[in-house]
Amino acid sequence: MRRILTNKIFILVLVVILLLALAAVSYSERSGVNIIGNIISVPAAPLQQAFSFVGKKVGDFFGYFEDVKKTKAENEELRKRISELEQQILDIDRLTKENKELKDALNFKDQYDEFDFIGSSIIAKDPGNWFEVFTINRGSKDGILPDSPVITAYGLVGRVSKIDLLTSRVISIIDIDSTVSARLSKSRDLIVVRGDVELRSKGLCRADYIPPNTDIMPGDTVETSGIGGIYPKGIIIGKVVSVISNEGQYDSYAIIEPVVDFKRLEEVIVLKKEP
Amino acid sequence: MLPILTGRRKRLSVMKYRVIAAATLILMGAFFQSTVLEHIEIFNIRPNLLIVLMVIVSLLRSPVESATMALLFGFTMDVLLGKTLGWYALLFFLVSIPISMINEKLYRDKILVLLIFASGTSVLVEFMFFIIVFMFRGYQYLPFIFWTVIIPEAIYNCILILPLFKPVATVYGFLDRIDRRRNRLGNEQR
Repeated sequence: MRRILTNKIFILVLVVILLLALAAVSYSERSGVNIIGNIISVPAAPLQQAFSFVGKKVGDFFGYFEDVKKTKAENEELRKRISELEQQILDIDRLTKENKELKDALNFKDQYDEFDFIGSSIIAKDPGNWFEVFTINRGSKDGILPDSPVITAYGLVGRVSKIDLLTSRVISIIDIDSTVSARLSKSRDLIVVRGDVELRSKGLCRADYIPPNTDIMPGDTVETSGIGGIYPKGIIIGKVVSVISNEGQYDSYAIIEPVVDFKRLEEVIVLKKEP
Repeated sequence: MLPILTGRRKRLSVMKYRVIAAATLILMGAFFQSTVLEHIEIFNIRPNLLIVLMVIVSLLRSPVESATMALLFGFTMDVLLGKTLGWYALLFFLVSIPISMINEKLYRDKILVLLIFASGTSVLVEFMFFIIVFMFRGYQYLPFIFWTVIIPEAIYNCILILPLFKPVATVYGFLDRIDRRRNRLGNEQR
């Protein structure tokens, strides 16, 4: 027995079998085995956070001189805009009051009422060249749950895939493992938005399963449909860049440009469902 | 002056240095791969520091040590990716063994040797990873992926191995000198 255990080929085969078993067991995002990722992620988190902080400060420093030039020109334009916006604020105040009164009258429940908003910083990006996954500085200790939607002020970013103690991994909507049930804002037609190997590097994704008579054109806005139970309804995903029509009934697809710029993304909001 | 240790205490003490060096190398690799290298991307492609470190360790060390380190580098890559655990660990592990078995027959510090192993390993590992993760899902963009991801990354890894080989070799050389010194002093004392 001892001779077998010290046999190098036996150890090699054993390690290979164990790794294949690990891959099989960890295939599911909710597998309990993924907790061993804490071995790397917990000690790496402070380093990643520190680097992210320093990187931001260095970027801010070099950006300062360029910003002075831009600021002068922007200042002029902003003065004009202020007077326009002041008028708009008055209108918005009036509309907000009206909206609240109407909602109260209809006993309407806001879809975001059921969520807590957790602000997070991106501390690391996907280490390889295959996926669009990033790490945020919120983990199980902050109450982050799997499949929580992740957004910015502009629109949808993705969803939480794996959670460690101090950090979480977020799959962006341009990752090949991402599928989002969506709706065209104009025509209300349902489509499926998913990541694509070729489009990922350009920061784009594609919309599949477009029915033949769908009213879809470049420039149309795409938003979440609320179907599927992960993403709430009405979060903006992006705009249609082009529509590629093929002969088959459901062969047409569209290229979507997300409203979120994934290359420059620094802060995100995790929507945590209230218990 | 290094303390003279004998028997089990001596082995544990030397091992302690090796474990600290290995852990530092892996953590630094993980840290740089997920943060700093993002800023030196060219055409959306970044080098894979963990593949480079695995090749360097495999060129310098014994098969057992190389395979162990390769397993840990690969596992680190799997954890950082946040997807299925084990694929990079398996590929790194299997690739490191043949390299470490022939490393004594090679002129390891020749630039050409470093370039051949860095590029060959990068292409092999990333190609196999693509086959495992993407092809079985029905993606058929192999030529596109090969020319736009795998080859640029291999070229990038070749560039990265040149400044990294010497420092890593120096650290391992230093650990070997501590080993030899302890062994010699231990033998003299006996």
